[in-house]
Parts: sequence; structure tokens; C-alpha cells
Amino acid sequence: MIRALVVALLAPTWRTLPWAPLAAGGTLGLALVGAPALLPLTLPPVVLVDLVRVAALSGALGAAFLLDDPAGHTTGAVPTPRLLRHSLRTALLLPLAAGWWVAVLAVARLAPASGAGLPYGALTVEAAALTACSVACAAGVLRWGGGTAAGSTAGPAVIVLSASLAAVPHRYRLFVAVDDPHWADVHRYGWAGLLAAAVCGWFAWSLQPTTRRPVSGGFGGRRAFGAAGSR
Amino acid sequence: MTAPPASRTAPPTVSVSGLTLRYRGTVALDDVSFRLGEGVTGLLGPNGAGKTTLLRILATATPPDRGALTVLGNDPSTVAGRQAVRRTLGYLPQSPGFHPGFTAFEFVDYVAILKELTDRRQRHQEVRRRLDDVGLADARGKRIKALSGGMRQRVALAAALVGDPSFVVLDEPTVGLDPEQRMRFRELIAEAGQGRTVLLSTHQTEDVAMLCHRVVVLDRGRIRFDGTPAELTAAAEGRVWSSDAKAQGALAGWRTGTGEFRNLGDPPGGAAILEPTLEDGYLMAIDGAAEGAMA
Amino acid sequence: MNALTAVRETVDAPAANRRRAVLALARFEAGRLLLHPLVFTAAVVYSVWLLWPGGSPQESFPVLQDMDRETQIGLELIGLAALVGANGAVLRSRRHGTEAHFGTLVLRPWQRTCAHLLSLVPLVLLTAAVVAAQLVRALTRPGVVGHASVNELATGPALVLLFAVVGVLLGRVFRSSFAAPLAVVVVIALTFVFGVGASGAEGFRRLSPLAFDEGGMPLPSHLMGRPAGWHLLYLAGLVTLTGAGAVLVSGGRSAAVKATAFGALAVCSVGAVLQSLGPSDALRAAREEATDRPSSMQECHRRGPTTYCAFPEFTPWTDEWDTVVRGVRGLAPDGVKERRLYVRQRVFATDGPSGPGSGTRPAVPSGLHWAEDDRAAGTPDAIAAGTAWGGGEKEIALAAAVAHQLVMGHGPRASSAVMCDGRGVLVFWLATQATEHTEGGLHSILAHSFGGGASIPSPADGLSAGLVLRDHEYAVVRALLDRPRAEAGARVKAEWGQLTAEGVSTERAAELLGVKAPPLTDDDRQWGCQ
Repeated sequence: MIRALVVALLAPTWRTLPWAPLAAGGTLGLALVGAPALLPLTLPPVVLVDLVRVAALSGALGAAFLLDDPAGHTTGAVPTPRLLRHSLRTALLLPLAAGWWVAVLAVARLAPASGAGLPYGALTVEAAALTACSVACAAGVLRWGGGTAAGSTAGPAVIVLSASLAAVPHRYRLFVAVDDPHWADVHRYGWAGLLAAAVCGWFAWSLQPTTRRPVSGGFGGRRAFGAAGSR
Repeated sequence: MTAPPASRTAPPTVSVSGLTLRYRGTVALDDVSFRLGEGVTGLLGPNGAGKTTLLRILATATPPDRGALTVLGNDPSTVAGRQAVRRTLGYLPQSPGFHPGFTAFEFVDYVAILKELTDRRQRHQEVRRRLDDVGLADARGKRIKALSGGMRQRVALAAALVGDPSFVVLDEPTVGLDPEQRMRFRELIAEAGQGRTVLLSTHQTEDVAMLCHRVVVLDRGRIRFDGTPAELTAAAEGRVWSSDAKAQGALAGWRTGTGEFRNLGDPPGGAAILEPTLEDGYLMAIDGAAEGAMA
Repeated sequence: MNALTAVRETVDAPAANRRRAVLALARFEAGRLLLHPLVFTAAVVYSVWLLWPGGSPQESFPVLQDMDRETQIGLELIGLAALVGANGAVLRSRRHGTEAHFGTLVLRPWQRTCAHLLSLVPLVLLTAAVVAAQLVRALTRPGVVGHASVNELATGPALVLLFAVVGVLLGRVFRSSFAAPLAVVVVIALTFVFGVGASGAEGFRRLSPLAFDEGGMPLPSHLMGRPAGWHLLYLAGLVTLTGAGAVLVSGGRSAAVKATAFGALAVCSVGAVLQSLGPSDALRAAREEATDRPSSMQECHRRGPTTYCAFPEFTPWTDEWDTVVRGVRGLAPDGVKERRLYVRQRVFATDGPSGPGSGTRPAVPSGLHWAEDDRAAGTPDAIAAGTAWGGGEKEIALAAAVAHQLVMGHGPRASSAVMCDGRGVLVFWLATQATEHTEGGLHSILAHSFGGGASIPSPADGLSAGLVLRDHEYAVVRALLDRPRAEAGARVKAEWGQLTAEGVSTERAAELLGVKAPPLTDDDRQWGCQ
């Protein structure tokens, strides 16, 4: 049943993806990492890493619009659960995002950087975490805001998040310089933790609640229904 | 004009009791209870009365703070129950959005898939049938961005009706339509009411007068009236009169096309009493509420 | 009566009426912009950050020609928030489907654009007030030195205005709310990545709205080569051009608007060209002089046996320096503590703010003519002082240089001196005891340094030698720090002659001071001692 549903939904869901923001964010990201090679500008490795990060942010901004659905009010009251609809969109994004990211790293390699190669693995974890935060944030906006368009809120939220991660005191900072002694730890715990938290957030906020107050309502809310219903 | 009286004795398909919802400090719904049976029921009320909130709860798009709702015996306060409700539900939201790049057929087909119609052949048949029903047979292949407002509204109705739901919730479907389109829409809704439970939210008393066997008036989150349109009209019996000048003490009064004033309220002795309309009854119902609220 | 006059005016002067409508709309939008969640949050966060107590100790000794430039970077954040906020305001009518209605109103779209542009003024004034408050706060610090540049101070608010105007333009060009976040990404890339890090593209860097400069230490203001005025002109041109562009795009194609746009383009180009000319030959010569032979530009003041020579702007710090020097002297025995000492402020001006950016410093002190200059000026073997002050780290750096001079009789001879004998122990201990802040300063230096051993940097930010101890020697210093200060001080005074003798071993020094030296490890033997 679910399988047939997923198969039937693949093509139309693909068409409902927000192509304009995804394409704009992706193109800008590629243009940014391509700029040093085109101009040409020589960037020290620390700065080149930052540039790749900005490109990742650009892609994450596009992903903030992933869950936007202009027909959301209609599709919000159908038997296909929101979790399945969100999962489908996210699953369709994944191969696109992966391909785009490989392209970003490949283009960044062309930059006339003075120094060693880029830390590909660590940067990939950062990009994945940022994108996951972006999509999770969109799911949260839909869950708590109730509208059908989350991107215009989730996008700036991701920028604010990134700015905070770069500006907080060094002890809590996730955007550390590539020669920072805590680099490995920050990625192993900080970024991976953020990625895990974002995935959990995305999952939790993609569930549509059946009662209004989940904390007391999981039990109490149901009881309210039962009590009133027996009148 | 109205549904067969037999349906009123049939068991209710939808029952609502004690629905309450607060939204940012204001009470959007306050202890709302009623039952719906087969046929078209009208939900009347001024802007901000809580109609859309009530309809969103009935369509399981929003859970209530308190209260019970059952649709065909299913309770949407559990995941399985909500799933069961949604399988029998058709919903036309107040501002249905569209994917503008889709054709009318593709959009209704997409909604049909989301309604778990996974057999491609049967689904396409069903989609075609619904589009034919709403008079869009010729516009099936047109992109939604090329359709007029009235046609888009019909696409939304087709999307609500696809899958043959037994409970249909329509939130102001006739807003923004010209009189001819509205007439056509009324026919469609009346047809949809055959063998289904339809709840129609509207500002237009004519919609109710022409379509509904039953009417619920909602104002400031509370039910002010629940009965037949005739009963609502009768509530204004003896409380509409004409005069040469605007009457003092009337709840409402306006100059009609003939130059005489039509007044609503407690008529003075010897006033020329007029035959009330459904609208008079509606105004009495919500004005009565205003008095009650002030008292 | 008044109403009647008003009505007549309305009939007589629809243009004036429309102007009033634009102003009213601008007021309305200005309020909404200030309360936009992003703008409001950015402003609150920035203010809290400014007012947060316990910042860097150097904030108590602000150098105004550095502080003015530092006001800009924080305001960039408010500017980016304003970009998103102003863009949202322009798109609001589209987003909520009222464009079809608004489009038919008396106020034409381009007039509404003008109102949006005007609505940015209060926010910009607010940021200007923040900058003014920062300046006042710096001026009221007792340790303030230098001169602030109005152009640098005005650049921050100008940046806020530029970004917000870009937000308005984007709203008029793209219907999507997606354009503003993307523009934010572009600005971040331009300023924080290309603006900071691109080398070999000086002209390109200057075009970035926020002009960063490498070179960590403040310079005397007469050596500053930042084309702040031309950069401000460039920004003003850019703001006007962008604003005129927004009006043009929304249908205001009058000759005046076009003329403004062309004028702004010209101003912008002039600013762009002039700001990229680089420092004049006279300035270059002055910078070389200040770097190589600073004595001719400096003023000297004597405090007891010490003479302090500094660029005139920095002479208010003389007493601060003297407190540290007296602290070290006080620990030395009679006959040593009265020794003549000279302290001279050093800068490396050829790589300073908006210098040519050669990026490499010569190995200190070779390559400079300091020794010759000092001899000529009558201040032989002067200890270097820097152009930044405040806090234990700065104090211990100066204290260590003074201690080195008193113990060794001369300054460090190499760029970084690893001291592998008992005298190193003494120098470090003296440095930590100079003032109440110096021991804490050493701990905070060590907290953010890596590798073995302990080091104290140069007091002039790398222009003179820093001092380094191996773990072997530093262990003795730590042991000494655990002893009562008075007891250790008495031993130092009593054994000064033996402790400062050439070739005194670490073990011997430890013995003299009443503590134990740990055995040498393989790590200790790796160091190249002098």
C-alpha cells in the first residue's frame, strides 16, 4: 500500500519541488566557489574553506524552501501523512544535493589556493548539518506557524543560525578555522551533533499532532475527548 | 429545495461536542456542539466568528483544545482515527492554493494519489469523472495558471470530491464568484449533497436558503442558532416592519428601493409588519447574540 | 478654518499632498522596519554585545584611529538584517495579494518605492547614534589615545543604508522573498571572504563595501593610509545609484531620477578610483621613517631612571608603562634597580592599515636600523613598547622585556630567545611579579598557546623578541610561584649576583631559590638554546 503510494507520488512530488529557490541557491553557491578560479584570486586555505562554507549556506538557503507547498491547505487534510510527504520531498532532494555538493567541492579544487587541499569530509559534515537545520527549521515553521510557505522564515533563520555559530565565543564556536586545534573535535561532536539534532527536529516537526497540547495532552487531551464524547 | 426529511432522522454522520479552541488569548471556539446528517448544512456567521477554525478542526487540519469530534464513528484524536476520518473526507479550504504549473487534471490526480487512490487506471477514471462533474471536461489539460478564478475554484471542488468522500467540508466556496458562476456552483454543491454529509460555510444567506436543509449560525465562537432555514426565518416573524422614516430603537434599518424603511427589532404598536426573510432571521440571531453579550 | 485651508491646499497642490502621503507612508514603514524581528533582534544582540561587561582589557585603552574602524563590522550585521527587513516590506503587498489593489491607488509604485527608501532613514540615524555612543564611551575612558576619523565613523551607518537600499531594489526587481537571503550570502562572501582574504587583488578588495585591513597593531594616526573619505564617497554613490535604480525599476523614469542615477554612477566611479590609488609617496616615506628610525617622530619623557619615547599621540600611556617598569625594578637589589633604561615605542607601519600589504615582516630586529637610531637619539638598547595596551598579557610582555634587560644587561639578540639557564627562571619570575595583573597575564597567554614550554610575546606585537622557557625551567618558575612572594623576593635580592651570573644552571638557580628543578627530559633537549 505504502509502496504503491510512494511510487505514485514520486513524479508529481518531483514536480512540486520549489525549483526556483533550489536552482538559485545552488547556482549562487557554485558561482561563489568558482569566482576565485575565474577572476583569478589567490585565497589562503583558511579563506577558501570559509568560501566553501558560504557556498554551503547558499545551498542550505535553497533547501529552506523545500517543504513549501502552495496547495498545502488542500494537501494538509489528506490521509497521506505529513511525515510521508515531507520524507518524499527530502528523499528527492538528497541525490540532487549530493551531486551539487560534489560539484561545489570539485569547483573549489580549481581555485588557485596557496596551500594544502580542502578538508572534504569535515566540510561535507558542515554542509549536511546546515542543510538539515534548514529543512528542519522549515518543518518547524510549518508545524508551529501553520502556513504553507516556510522558506521565507526558515531561510533568514538559517542565516541567523550560521551567524551565531560563527560569532559565539570560541569555546562554543562551530565555524572554527581549519588550523584550529579543536577542528577534529568540533566536527566529530559539534557538527555531527547538530546534524543529528536537526534530523530529530525534522522528524518530530513532520509529525502532525492529533491533540493540541502534546505534553499533557498525549494522555489528558485524549481523556478530554473521551469525557466530552460520552456526554 | 432542501434535502429529504428522511435524512434528518437518519443517524448522524458527524457529531461535535464541546469543541473549544483558544488562539493567542482569544477564544475562537467556545463549547461548540452539534450533529450533522446527510445533506447540505449551512454554516453562517460574520467574519471572525470562528467558521474557518471550526471547519479546519472538522477537516482534521487543526486539533481542538478541548471537545470531542467523531466522523462516521471515527475519533480523530488518535493517529489511526484521524487517518480513518481523512479517508472519508473532502475539504475545500478557504484559500486553496495550487501548483500553477500543473494542469487541472494533474492537480486533481495529485490530490487523488494523496487520498491513497493508487490504482492508476481507476484513479484517472475517477479524476476525469470529478472534473466532468464540475464542468471542467474541456479544461482538463489547461494549466491552472491559465484558468480563471471561478474555474480554479471548480478545480478545488473537484479535488475535494475526488475519491467520493462521505463527509465534505466547504469553506466559503462561492466567495469571489460572479452570480452566474455562483448559480452553477450551487448546483454542484446540491449534487454533492446527494448521499453525503456536506458542511458549507458562507456569508451568503441566499446560498443557505437555496441549498441547505439545515443551518447553524456561529458568532464569536458560539452557536447562536441550529435548525432549519425556515425556523431561522421564523425567528424574525413579527419583528420586521416598514416605516416612512428610520425607526428609533430598531436593531437595524435601511431604506429600500421603494423609498420606505425596512426595520428590524421590536416593532412599535400598529406598525406595518413585513414578511421576514432568512437574512432577517440571521441578523436577529447574531444581534440577539450581541445583546446577550452586552448584558 | 484649518480644515478648510487644508482642503484648499489639497485641491491647489496635489503634488504637495502626494509628498505628504509619501512621508506618511515612510513613517509607517520606518516603524515596521525597526520592529522587524530580524532588525530588532540584530539591534538588541549588537547592543547587548557592546554593553556586555568584562570585554577585552584593551577596551580600557582605546586607540581612536582603530576604534573608529571597528564600529563598522558589527553594524554590517544590522545592515544585513535591514536588507532582509526592507525587502520584506517591499514585497509585503505582493505576498499578501494586495498589489492589485495598491497598484490602482493614487500613490504610484515609484512613489511607494521612495517612501520605502525614506523609511530607512530612522534606522540609519539609530545606528549613527549607536556609533556616537561608542565614540563617547571610548572618549571617556581614562586610557584613550589617538584621533577618530569622522569618515570611518560614518562608514558603518552608510553600510546599513546601502544594504537596506539593496533590499528595496531587490524587492522591486525580484518578486521572490528568496532574493534577500541570497543577497545576504553574497554580501557575506564579498566582505568576510573576499574582502578579508583575497591577496593580490587590492583594487577588488577595496570595492567590497566593508574594507578590512590586515596588520594587527594600531598605527599613529598620521601614518594611517586608509582612504576612508573616498570609500565613503564610493558608498554614497553606490547608495544613491541603488536607490535611483529602485525608483527607475518601479516606474519613476523622470529626467531627475535618471540624472541622479548617472551622477551617482560618476561619484561612485570617482570614489572607486581614488580609493584604490594607495598611499602617497610622502606617506610611504613617513611610514618607513617611523618603522626604521622612529626617534625623530617621537617625544621622550623621563620618569626616574627610565626614559619613555613614544609617538606623541601615545604619550598618555607613559605612566601606565612606568608602573610596570617600576614593579620590575622594585624586585631587583640596590645597584641594579637604578640602572638607566630606555623604552621606545615601535611600529611596523609599512604593513599597517591600508599599507601596501607586502605581508611579510623582516626578521626582528635585523633589517631595521633601530640600534643606530637609538644610539643617535641617546637611548641605547631601548626596550620596545607597542601601540596596544591594557591587561595582564600586555603588562607581562613589557615586564619580561624589562626583566631581561636588568638580568642580562641587554635586550634579546634573536627574534625569539629560548632561555635555557637559571637566568631565564629569574626573568620569568620577575615578570610575573611586576604588577598584580602580570601573573594572570602569563596564565592567559599559556591558556591559548600550544606546544611545550612557556613563552611571553614581545611587547610590540612581534617587532621585538619574545621570551621562551623550556618545561624544565618553567617548572622551577611554577615551583617558585607556589612559595610565599616575600620569601622568594628576599632570596632573589640576596642571591642576585649568582642568579644573574653567566652560565648559572637551572639546577643551581633552583637551589639558590630554595626549590627543586625536575630532571631534563628528551623534550627539553629538543629546544635550540641560546
